[in-house]
Formats: sequence, structure tokens, C-alpha cells
Amino acid sequence: MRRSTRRVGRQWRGRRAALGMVGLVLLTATVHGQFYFGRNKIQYDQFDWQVLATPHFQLFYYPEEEELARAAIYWAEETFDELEQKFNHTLTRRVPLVIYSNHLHFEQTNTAPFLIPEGVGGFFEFVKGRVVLPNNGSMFDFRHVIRHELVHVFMYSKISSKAREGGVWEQRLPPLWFIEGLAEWWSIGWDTQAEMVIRDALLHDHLLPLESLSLAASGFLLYKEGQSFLRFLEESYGADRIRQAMEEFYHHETFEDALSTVTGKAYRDLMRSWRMSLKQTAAEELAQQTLPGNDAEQLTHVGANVAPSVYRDAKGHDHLVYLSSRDGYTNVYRQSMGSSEEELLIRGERTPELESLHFSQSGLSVSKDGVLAFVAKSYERDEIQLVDLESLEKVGGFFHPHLTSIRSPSWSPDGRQIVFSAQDRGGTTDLYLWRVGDSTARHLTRDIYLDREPCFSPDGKWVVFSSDRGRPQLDGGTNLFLLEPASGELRMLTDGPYQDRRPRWSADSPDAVHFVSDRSGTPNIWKFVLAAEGAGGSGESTLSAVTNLHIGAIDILPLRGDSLLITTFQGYSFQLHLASENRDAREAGSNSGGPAAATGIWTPPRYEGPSGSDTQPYRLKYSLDIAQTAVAYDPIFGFLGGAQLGISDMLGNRYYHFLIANTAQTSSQFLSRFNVAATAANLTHRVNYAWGMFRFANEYFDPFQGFFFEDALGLRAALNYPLNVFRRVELSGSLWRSRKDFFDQRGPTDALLVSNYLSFVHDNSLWVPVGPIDGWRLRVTAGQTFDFSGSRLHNYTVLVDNRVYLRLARRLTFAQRTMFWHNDGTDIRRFYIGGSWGLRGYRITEVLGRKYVLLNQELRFPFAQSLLLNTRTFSLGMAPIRGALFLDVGNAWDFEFPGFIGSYGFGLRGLFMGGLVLRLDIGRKTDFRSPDSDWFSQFFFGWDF
Amino acid sequence: MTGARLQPNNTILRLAGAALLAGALVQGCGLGPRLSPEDLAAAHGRPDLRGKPELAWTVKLPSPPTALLPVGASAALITTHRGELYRFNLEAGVRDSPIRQPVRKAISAHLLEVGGRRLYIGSAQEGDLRAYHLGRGRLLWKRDQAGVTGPLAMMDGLLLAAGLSGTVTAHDAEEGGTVWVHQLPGRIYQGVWRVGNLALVLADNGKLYAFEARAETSNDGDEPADHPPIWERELGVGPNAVVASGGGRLIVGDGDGLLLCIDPARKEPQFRIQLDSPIYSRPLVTEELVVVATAAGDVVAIQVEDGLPRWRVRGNGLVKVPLLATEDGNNGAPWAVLVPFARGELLTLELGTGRELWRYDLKQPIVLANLTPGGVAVVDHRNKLSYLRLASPAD
Repeated sequence: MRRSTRRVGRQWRGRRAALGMVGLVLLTATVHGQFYFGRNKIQYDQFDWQVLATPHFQLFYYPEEEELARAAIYWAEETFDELEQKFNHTLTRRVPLVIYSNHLHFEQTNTAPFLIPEGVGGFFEFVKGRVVLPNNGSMFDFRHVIRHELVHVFMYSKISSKAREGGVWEQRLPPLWFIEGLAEWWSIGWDTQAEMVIRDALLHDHLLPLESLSLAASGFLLYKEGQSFLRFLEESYGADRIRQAMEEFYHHETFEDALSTVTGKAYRDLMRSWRMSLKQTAAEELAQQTLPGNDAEQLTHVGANVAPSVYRDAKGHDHLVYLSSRDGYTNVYRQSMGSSEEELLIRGERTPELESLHFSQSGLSVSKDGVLAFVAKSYERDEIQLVDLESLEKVGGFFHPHLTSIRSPSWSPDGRQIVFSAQDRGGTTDLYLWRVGDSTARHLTRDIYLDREPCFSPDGKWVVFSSDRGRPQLDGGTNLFLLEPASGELRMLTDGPYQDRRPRWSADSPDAVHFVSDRSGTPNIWKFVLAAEGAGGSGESTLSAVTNLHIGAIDILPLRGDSLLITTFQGYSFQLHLASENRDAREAGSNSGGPAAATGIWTPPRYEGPSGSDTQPYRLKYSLDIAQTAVAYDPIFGFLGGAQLGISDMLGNRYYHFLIANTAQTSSQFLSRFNVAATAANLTHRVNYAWGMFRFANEYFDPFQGFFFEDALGLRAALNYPLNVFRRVELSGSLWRSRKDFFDQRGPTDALLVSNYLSFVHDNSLWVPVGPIDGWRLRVTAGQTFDFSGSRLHNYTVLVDNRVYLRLARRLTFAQRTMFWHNDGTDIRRFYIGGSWGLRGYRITEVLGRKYVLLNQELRFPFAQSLLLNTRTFSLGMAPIRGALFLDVGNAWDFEFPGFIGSYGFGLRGLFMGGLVLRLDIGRKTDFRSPDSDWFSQFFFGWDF
Repeated sequence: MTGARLQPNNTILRLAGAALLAGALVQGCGLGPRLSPEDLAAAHGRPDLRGKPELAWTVKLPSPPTALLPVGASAALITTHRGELYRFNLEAGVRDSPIRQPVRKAISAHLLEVGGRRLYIGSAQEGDLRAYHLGRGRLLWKRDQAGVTGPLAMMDGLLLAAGLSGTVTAHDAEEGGTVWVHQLPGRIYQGVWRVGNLALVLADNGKLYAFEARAETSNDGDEPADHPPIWERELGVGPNAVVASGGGRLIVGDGDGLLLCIDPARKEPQFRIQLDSPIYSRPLVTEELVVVATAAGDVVAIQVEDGLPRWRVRGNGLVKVPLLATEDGNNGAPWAVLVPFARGELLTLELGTGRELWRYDLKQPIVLANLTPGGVAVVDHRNKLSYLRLASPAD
């Protein structure tokens, strides 16, 4: 793999949108600012792609991840055999499997047009049937994601083939809860994480009906509820019913109907039985267990709060620092112990230096000198950043080009070293030791096992960490280990197929390690007390459960005395609790604390396929993304026919888009009214560029020029250069010959035109489903068109579009947009600003001119969770619904500013059927002398500005 | 521009209308497949699988087939998911009859009685059961029969059918009149199986129901009599179990890998074996052996007498198409089994020993296969029908 400073991309919302955007950039001369925001997907790296073909897969990988690739294809083939049996179905084509050695590389993929959030562990897309996934460092998770995505592949293939057999060509999919629930259930079965989520949903009364729109929007809960229901279904009725439901789906109205048919039970009865069975089990468990609020003080209440760390300042006051996503972005907060007042210390995810703080994946650590260590994604890499908590100045940092993902920095007691885990470019996660100030870090472990969450012992001699080494097989178990950095000696602390995570040395006791473990069925706090000789002792050690929480805990920080800072999962969120350690903790067993095996027992499998399987360098091979035709009849223009075709390569780096249309009304016009455009786009590098040629010959109407026919033939090119994830520069240029023939007495005109546009775009906005609620968006565009044939300036344009979103309260946003447009020249272009997206209350064509100013102000707030219309045959829903008070001011003009006009009123916006935003505005127009007596109402669609 | 206007010609319109009407009648229900006297007279035979296969031809079918029923020496009747029905010449690789479309939805049940010159077909989605005269190619009768699936059974002049609604019905095979009916408390996916003088029906509640064909009760007016089963047994199998009959026994295999051999005379399972992966393909049953292929690709021969495995062969992946047997040319007893693997491989094994005779990789997923006197007809997922001609063993 070659390193490159080139980059590519931008955030696009779908493959078709991507193609449309490429076409739009090239083929239109007008700049529609509001479509050109969005963050950038940047391709920092260039990969030397290889293709390994096996009987059922085509694996795309790069040489650094050769070992991972051999394991991936082994698991994929193994899973294929298993799913073929489970589904009673086989696949007809090789599945393209694209793997990345780590998430940072995965985020650069062009196989999906949208920005990939950190929480996405992989995806299957339907157009080319690709499975794309990264390795997060855990081989078990990697195998799980392969299995999960292949369940999607089989399910989609089975349902499609059954429908095709029956002559049904409509592409219908089961509801999302089934798609994701089945992928979880048939890939991993039931697990303690699912148990924790479902118990929490039951206890906090947010176990949503599977068909509810809120569940569809809830993300992870949808996966787990689907998984839980299918577990119930399979255990109650057998896996055959699930297969049958998929087979019968195509001739039922809904998937729920198919389920009812194959089980012989009404869908509502199935739901009721499932919920009842969950409640019965939970009630029995709860009788033996506790809840966080029973004997602990809740320190945080709003949003999700994780990764706590405690330090004592120079005045001897204890403070708590932690990560919180309460306002949508991840920030670092500080809170004095014993006080409920919080202070926002570091604002994350708004600037390229702190693009991500890896919420819930990493941790915070404060040195004895009050220096906070945390990991932030900074441009193309992860960096350990050191911030003095008194001055709040950055005092140091560490990154290394060979380390992609860095996690969980932990200070040594003397404040001179930091131990952390990191993933290298091949995808392996090891422990490293960084002496503060050095430019390199020392490997503490170096093997294929997952080593993470290290923590120094109070004497600084040992490091405790969690690892999947030592397991007899890859069963998802991670145990605790001790490592002496000085000698490299390694000892095993815990054993068993459990998730032992987040070990922390007790503040007062050098012999005790607290950690989180799912040994009791859900994650709880456990304590391992080493033999009296300390970490290196070889005597008898004890293991005991500290908490017996019904739902679960995800992190532990022992404080001085017997206090514990526990991060619990509750109410589908994470909260910090201060508790006293239960001195009557149940002893669960003992452990010899003896030396652990220096090397693990399991090793990753390696696919050594039949001789037919071979590795070849990746070659560009294009396949269809979109192909559609359209024929329309227009009473004025007659028959209009056209077709478009889009193709791209398997990695999505190169696109070709072709458009052909004809607007001829007579056979003699066939050639003269031929419209054709071809566009090529290259997204391989940091600079995203496209070029194309076009010929458009159509009749147009302009309110000022009347009807005319224009024949335009030319070339267009465009490029985007992302400065960082939030900012980019766009450049476009075109050269074309324009022949206009006016239908009045003016006669034809002929021009050879060259136009250039330059734009700067900034976007760090935070969105809810109906629009932005925080951040800042800016677009500045300037450009000109020059007429070479007349040696004159054809026209020039300046556009400024600035949008600021201020959070007045957590759920209350003040949004302000300022737009300015100026166009002048011999062939001026006018802009319309009326309508729901501009000056509300005015018709679109009512306010237009070559200059305009537009100021929109909105106060945005939640209005309702959902609106549901249920009938016997269908249900329509809208969720969420937000309200807005608005004030619009502006006007458009050609020569003399006519004064401001505007409108004010109230609006509602709702997400309809999970995808389309519908908007209703009610208000009054005004010229700021006297308001209209009549109220207007405007109904339209689209996101908030 | 002055456009030319089409002046309709009355004769043309009338002819077109008549053609449409005739087409509708033909497509609708009046005509069925017609077989030649040679087809009807030809002895139904199976190929000798000792000869090596050779791909004779591959032809794309117009729609996905549901069944391929050999008739005569070198032809097959094909029924489809679109409700179509036509005759296909397997020697020449061409369709040699018009495509009839008696129903608009998948033909999900069939019974071909060459000797009796009858073809019975049913469509679950259309709720329709029909009888055709193969010599005249005419519809004899049709009846409503909701959700009819799987094999139909002929017993004592009655056509027995069952379906997804759980209804078991007996029709007069000649006239189509409903003689008796019984409603079972589950869905029936596997039709009706004749074993000895009993008609056996497996419902998706895991119960097996045994019916006698002839009703002792008489019809009460126009309503057909209710005709309850003479016995029923809980088998404990999954809802979508596959069923096969032979040698006077009924074999049931389910999605959990459970295999049962039921002797109707004893009304109890003769043996019950748990295999390690699901059974989706219809087993093969002879007097001595049950051959079953699992979803994992294992082909296992089990002795009917004691339920002990005789041989086991490891194949390549899922098997969902029924196993096929060929017969000895001398005494007509099955002696070889052909296993069509879903991934595209055909494997032929000697029945007595499990010795491999040959294998042929079609390299495309197989959805349907059947034996004809001269070879093997296979349909892949692209609706392509391939014909493997089997060479004489001496060649």
C-alpha cells in the first residue's frame, strides 16, 4: 500500500444521488448552493488491491492484510456452507467481499457513497451485492460481521429468487427488524450484550413494537429486539417457520401476514407471547438482582456518559472528567466530586483536529500532574492528545504513521509514560508504551491476539489488560492478563469463555483489580484479588462479584476508600454512578495466578483453497449501477424520451454516466434535438475529479427572454479538494458553443462560452432527521462566463450562503441563514427565492431577480414523538415531528433594491415513513409596514435549511 | 405536419378479435397437453446410469418450471410457476406443443397417469384442481381446491388432494365430484401419499393422519361427507418435513435432521434417526434401503429393516431436489441413485454399496431434475434446461 496525500470524495446520500451529483456538477451551469453542503469522505490512502477468487467469493484485499484476508475467506466459505443449510438455499453468483484492515481505512471506501460512522461494522449493498467490512482488531468480531452480512446476502437472495419464481418482479424486503434481527440471530445466536439491552428495554418500558417507526429509528435496539423475537420464534416454533415465512413472503401483503400464516397465530398474539415470555424471565431474574439506583448515587443524568477518570488538583479537590454525547457531539466534561455542576472542557467533533473522540471505544486518563490523555481522530490518523486540565492547553501528543487506530491511553503512576493499545496497518491490535516526549512507542505485545484496555499497577511495575489470547478457540472470550513491561513477563489472571474487560487497579489496594465481566449473564463488576505477594505473586488469588446488577455495567473505576465509579447501561443510555463496594461480595472462585501460556492456543485459520483459487491484481471491471428509460408526453413539446446508464467498478472508484434523450417532434428534428451527455468521475484519490462532454438541444422558456431554442455543445470538468472532513474547495469549468434561436424577431445568436466557478464549502452541522440543529454551514461561490466570440463577459455570479445553528438549550435551536446572490453581465441569470425553502408565503416565481438577499430565522423545537394513522388495511406514520417559529426577510431585484418583504409564522416538519420530510408552514406575509390580513399555509417536502 | 391516420379495416379487426377470443379460450381452460399414441403406449423407463453422461443440449425455458414429468420415450411435460403447461422433446431439445396456461399462478401439484391417460394438476395460489385427458388434450373437469400442494394420490378411483388450508379432499377421478372432505388442524405442505391401502397426510403440527380412500358414510345431499382419518400419530417432526413412500413405508425427514420410517401397518415409526443436518430433499425409498441426502451434503443409505446405516458418502453442499432412482433393466428394481446437489453437481451412486458411478458438474445451481429413459434432464437457476444423454455402458 502506498501512502498518499491525495484525497477524494464528499458525503453523498446514495449511489443514485452520487451519480446524480456527478452529473449535476458537470451538466448544469447554475449553482444551487443548498445542495452542496455535506462533509467530505477523504481518501487519504492508496491501496494495492488484490483479488482472491474462491468457489463462492471474490475477496478484495490489500497486501498488508494478507493474513486477515486468508482468515476472512476461510470464515466466509465456512459460513456459506452453514447458511446454505439454514436457508435451504444456495447462491448463484460469487459474493464480492471487500475487507479493510481497520476502520480508518474502511471509512475511505467508495463502495458506499455516504460517510461511514464509527459505529458501522460493515454493510451489504444490494446494487452490486458487495459485502464490505473492516477489522476492528477483534478476530471474533470480524468473523461475526462476516457472518452477519452473509445472512443478509442469503436472505436477500432467497426472497428474491422465490419472488422471481412466482413471477413477482417487485423488489420487496421484509421489515428492518427482521433483516437485522435475523442477521444477528443466525450469526451469533444470543449473547450477553443482547440480554443487557433487552432487559433494559423491558425495565425502562421502551421495548417498542417491532413494527413501530420509532424502533426503526432507534438503531441498535432494532437489531436486538429483532434478534430477541426471532430467538423466541425459533425456540417456540422452530427454524422452519422462519424459512417458511421468507418463502411465502412474496405472496403476502406484509411480512407480518406471512409470519401469521406459517405460525397459525395472529401477529399481535405472537408479539404478546414474546413480550410475556421476556417479562416472565426478567421478573425471575430481577428478584435475585439489583438496580443501579438501589444503593448508588447517580452522577450524570443527561445523554450518554462514559470513560470516567478522576484526578486531584493542586488545591486537593477531586474532579471527575468523562466523555458525554449529550448534545449530539462528543465532548469532554469536568465535574467536581460532590458537586453536580458540569463544565464543558473540550468540544469535540467540530474541528479536524478533534474529528472524533471515539465515544465508548476509548478512555480518558489523567496523570498525577493533572494532564489529561485522550485519543482523537485528527485528520487522517488517531493521536494521543495531552491537555493540561488547569490551563486547558494542549501540552503534547503522539501519533505514528504505522498505527491507525489508537485506544485507551493510561498514564503510569509517575506521569512519565503512557500505555495504550493500537492497531497497525495490517489490522493487529497490540499494546504499546510511549515515554512522553519521545517520537516513537515501544511494542509491549506483538502478535495476532487482541490486546486492549491496559492499565498500570499502582507501583508502575505491571500492566493489566484484556486479551483474547489463551482461549482454546475463538469463542468471543477475553480474559485478563498481567504484563511486566521491563521483562516482558506475561501472566494470566482470569479464565473462561467470558468477556472480562476494562480492568482497573484499585486506588488503595495494590493487589486488587476490578473489571467488568459477563460471567453472571450480563456485564457486572468483578474483583480479582491477587495473592499477597502482589502482582507477581504465585499464591492463591480470589475472584468475586462486586455487583449483581440486573441490566449491566460497562466500565469501572475504583476510587479511594471503598468507593466505585460505575458506568451503567440504563434507559438505553450510559450513566455514571458512585457506589460503595459491597464488602459481602460473593466469592466466585479462585485462581492460581500462575504463569499464563506465553502464546495463545487458538490461531486464525488460513484459507488454502483448491488449486482453482488464485490471487490476481485488481483490474477495473465495470458493472451496472443504474439503467432506466423514460418516455413522457408533453402537450407543448410532444413526446420526450430518454435513457440513462451508470456503471462503476467493484470498488466504486470510477464511474461513468451516460444520458441520452430526444425531444424531436418531427422526424426531421430527430438529429437536431438529440441530447447526449457522457460523464466520467474518478474518486480514487484525494482530489475527486470528473469530466465529460455534452450536447443539449432543447426549447426553453425564460420569463424575460421568452421562448427560444438552444443548441449547446461542449466539455465540462470539475474537481473537489477536501481540506479536511468539514471543508473543501470545488472548482468547475466548461467550454461550450451555444446557438440560440429566439422565437420572436431577434434572430439567432452564436457564442463560444467559457465558464469557471470556484467554491468554498464548510459543514460541521449536526442533524436530526428533519434537518440541522447545531454547527455551521457556509458556501461561498464565485464564477464567471466569458463569451469568446463576442470578446465580452457573458455574466458573473457571486453567492454567499451562511447557516448558523445555535443550541439555546439541549432541544432548542436557533437557526439563521443569510444568503446573498449577485449576477450581472450581458446574459444575466435570475434566481427565484419564493417558496417553502426560501421566502415562505410567497409563490416561487413571485420574487425573482439577478440579485437577492435572504435572511431566514427559525426557532426549532421538538413537537411530537410521532403521529400514527392506523386503518384496517394500512398504517401511515410520521416520526419525529418538530416545530418551528420562523421569520423570513429578504427580496430579489434586478436594478434597484425595492425594500424588504418577509413573513412570519409557525411550522411543523415530520419524517414520513422513515424517509421523506414533509413540511407545513402557516404564517402571514408582511412588507414590514403592515402585515397581510390573510394567513397563508404552505405544504412541501425537504429538510430544514 | 399532416399526420397519416390509420384507417381500421373491419375485417382485420374482426379477425384480430376472433384470434384474441380463441387465444383466451385456449389459454383459459379448454385445452390441455396432448400426447401422441406413441407417447401413451411407450413403456415408462429409467436410464441405465452406468453410462457416462454427455451434455446433449441446453435450452432456456420461457419461465421457471415447477415439475418436469417424463412421458413416452423422449419427452417431458413441463409445468411452471406461471401456471403454464407444455410438452418438451428431450431428444431434439425443442418445445413441441403450444404453451397452455390453464391457471395464472404456480402449478403446485400434479399426478400423471399415463396408463389412464390422465393428467391432474393443482395450483395452491389459484385454488384450482383440474383433470385433463392426455389423448384428446381436453379438460375433463375442474374443481375449487384451496391451497393444493404436493403429490396427489389415486386410490380406488378417487383423486386425493390436500393443501395449505389443511383440507383433505377426495374427488371422483372421472367426474370430479367431491366424495368426501376432512379438515385437519394444520397446514399441509407435502400433499397426500399412498402407502398400501392408506392415504397418509402429514400436517405442519407434526402429526401424521391416515385415511382410507372409500367413504363408508354416504353423502348427505349436496354436501360431501366428512371423512375423518382412521388413525393419527404425533411424529414430532418440524413443520416443513419432506415425505417419500416406497416399499410399503412412509419416510419423513425434517429441517432438524430427524428421519423417520413409518410402517402404516404398525402405525408407529419403525425407526427414528437423528442426522446432523437438515433434510430438505425427498429421500429415496426401496424395499431395502432409505437413501437420504442432508443439507450438509452427506448421502446416507439406511437399512429399512433395522435402521442401521449401510453406507455414507460425502457430497458437495446442499441437496434440496428429490433424489432420483434408476431401475435395473432386467427386473425393474432400483439399483442406482442420482443426487442433484444444489450447487450444480450430479452424483450417481450404486444403491447397494454407495460406490460412485460418475459425477457431472453443471456449474450452475440446480432447481429441478428428473430421469428420462435416455438420460437426465436438469433445470438450473437461470431456467436453462440441460439434457445429459447417457452413453451405453459398453461405449
